[in-house]
Amino acid sequence: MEIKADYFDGKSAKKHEVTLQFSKEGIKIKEFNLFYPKEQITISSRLGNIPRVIIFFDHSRCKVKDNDALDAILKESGYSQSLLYKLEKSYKVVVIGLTFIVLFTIYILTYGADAIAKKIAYATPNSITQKISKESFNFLDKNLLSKSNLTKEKKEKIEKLFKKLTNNNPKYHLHFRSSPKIGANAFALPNGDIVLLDELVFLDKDKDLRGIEGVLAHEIGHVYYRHGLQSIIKGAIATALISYISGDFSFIVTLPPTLLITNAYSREFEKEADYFAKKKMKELHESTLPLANLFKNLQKFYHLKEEDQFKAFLSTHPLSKKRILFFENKINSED
Amino acid sequence: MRGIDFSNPETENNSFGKRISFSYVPFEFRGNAKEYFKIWIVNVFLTLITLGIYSAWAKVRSKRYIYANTYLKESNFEYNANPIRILIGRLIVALFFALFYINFKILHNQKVATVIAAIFLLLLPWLIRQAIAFKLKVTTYRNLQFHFLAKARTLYWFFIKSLLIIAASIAFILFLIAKFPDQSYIFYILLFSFFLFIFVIAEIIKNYWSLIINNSTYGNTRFLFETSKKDILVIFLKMFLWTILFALFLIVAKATFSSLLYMVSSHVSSKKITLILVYIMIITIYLIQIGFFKGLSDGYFSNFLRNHTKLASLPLKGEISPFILGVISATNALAIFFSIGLLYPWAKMRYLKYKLSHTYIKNIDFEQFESRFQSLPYTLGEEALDFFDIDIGL
Repeated sequence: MEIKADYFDGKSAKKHEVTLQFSKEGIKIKEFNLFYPKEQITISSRLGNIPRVIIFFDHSRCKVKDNDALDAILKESGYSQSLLYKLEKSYKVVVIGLTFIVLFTIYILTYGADAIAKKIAYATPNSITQKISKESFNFLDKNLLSKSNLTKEKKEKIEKLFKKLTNNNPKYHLHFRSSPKIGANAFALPNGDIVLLDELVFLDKDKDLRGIEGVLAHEIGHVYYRHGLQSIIKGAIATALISYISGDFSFIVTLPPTLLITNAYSREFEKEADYFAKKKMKELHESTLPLANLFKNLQKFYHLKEEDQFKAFLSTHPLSKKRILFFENKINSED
Repeated sequence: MRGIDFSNPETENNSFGKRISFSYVPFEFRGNAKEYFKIWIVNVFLTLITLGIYSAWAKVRSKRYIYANTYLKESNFEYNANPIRILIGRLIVALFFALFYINFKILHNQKVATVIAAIFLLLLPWLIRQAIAFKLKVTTYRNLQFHFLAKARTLYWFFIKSLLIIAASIAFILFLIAKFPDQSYIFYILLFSFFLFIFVIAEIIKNYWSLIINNSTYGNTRFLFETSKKDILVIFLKMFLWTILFALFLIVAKATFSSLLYMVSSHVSSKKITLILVYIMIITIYLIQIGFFKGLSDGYFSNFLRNHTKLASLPLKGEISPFILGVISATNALAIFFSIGLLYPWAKMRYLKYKLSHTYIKNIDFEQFESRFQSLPYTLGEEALDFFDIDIGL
């Protein structure tokens, strides 16, 4: 069994055209009368139609252009075939692979990320949750937050509402702060520390501050479902998967879809917390209308146009119009 | 270890007494999008089901395909890396990064995070040297390896020197501000700082490439790189002019799109469709902008590197049109995005085909070329690496 090849000795760039004779024992280079036993030979696996390389132990090598002829000879002289090439050659595998990749990506980005994030979030030891939260809180306190200017009276009132909502569970702590930089907002840390900003309290025109009660219920929902940890994990999964699949164009092409997906995740969490808040309020026989009013005031205060759909498309919270309707009990879902 | 001198090749005759044609020969890329697509799909598929472990093998297969389809005078290049080594390298980097990320972002343990980052920075010059050496070592052409001869200390010295230049410039600007505290001078000082900054960048780029290329060899033959800051400054100037032109293009594109949108929205009542159109436009412009400038700068810098590099006395030549490469790159970005990644293999092949077919090296008589090489001792024990991402090649 003979085949034509180009021989390079590895000492110079000179090309020699040679004939290779294959046998069960090894390969003989006819022109040089050189024999290499099988153990001293490495044959590169087939890849597309690139010339095959036969490497001898002394670093000399041959290149064979006729892949099909070489494969036939290798099969006959008992060399093993590359499984990878069989995979790459087969259209069936390509179709299956493609389908798998698409389904896998969709699965991971929807249920998969959700399940993984939930599992990790609930398995995270308390000490780590505490540490993460404490550090984040210290960081925020140092850089963005300042002392609250609420009256003692108001604070006590809110504190009372909070205790009612949490059933005196010692896990939850309420902290009063103000922050002109952040604006009217409240947020929850994974360990149950909930931070309420003065700016938001001022927007609640309800005399019993029941709008703030709703906000606190929403934040407790975030803690209850461990949204903080989940969003870190889900974001990491989405970023890793998308940037891997798109190859080395990664940053350019992956930034917009990654942002959209992580925003979608965040909207899901907000919705879940909203449901939690509504349920909680109903349990306590409270009206959810004051919360809807608070959202309206928030909108008015920041001059957010309800028509500004594009912003909503990119935002991390559900459309405020729908949110308001939800808490006015006019719709049962924020979708 | 001096490079070979092909003495005055223009007038030399070969053994048959005929005048040899010393024109330039182009590189040629024979990669095929369909073939590469299948390789790529199998790569992604196996990488996903092995949770990323296969990625090292995937890299080797995809590089092997690209190198082996790069031809110069009917001989192709080869990529010989061992996937296990790549896997180990990746695991180490991933471990480092995970440790840093956990400490910095999750545990907020800034002290530990700083130490990890500092270790990484201290190792960086050495890591870069190893990466370049590896890349060159696994690349062969006609069974001769490429090598990187620079010692780690050369890389460290380059980093220290660059930092010193930057520190000195900042100190000088601070000195100027202290010396002329008057408000009216601020504009001139800012202008001066801007130009100083450009000069410093050009100097660092020049030093970097001359360090890399002058320490690279093909077999035993040195690459030589010679340039002046002026060439780099010219590229910066051209890129700056392109930025202005592009800004004009953006104004026209936005106006055209707005009027189109107006026409559409008067016929279509659905807000959602209008919204999606706006989103598509923003993405399109974003991709065109980033894609175009990526290709454009790649075109300018690739030409620059080729046109100042010689293999011994054989000059390379880059005749890439930066504009065309920019257009290819921009359309590639769009194609990849709107095909949700599926056109990536096609885009890659197309980009390489254009770039390589506009890269030339001075042609000399083949036998003569080889015999010269043969007469030189070949240093064994060293293996060569991926030269191509770094400078002259792909």
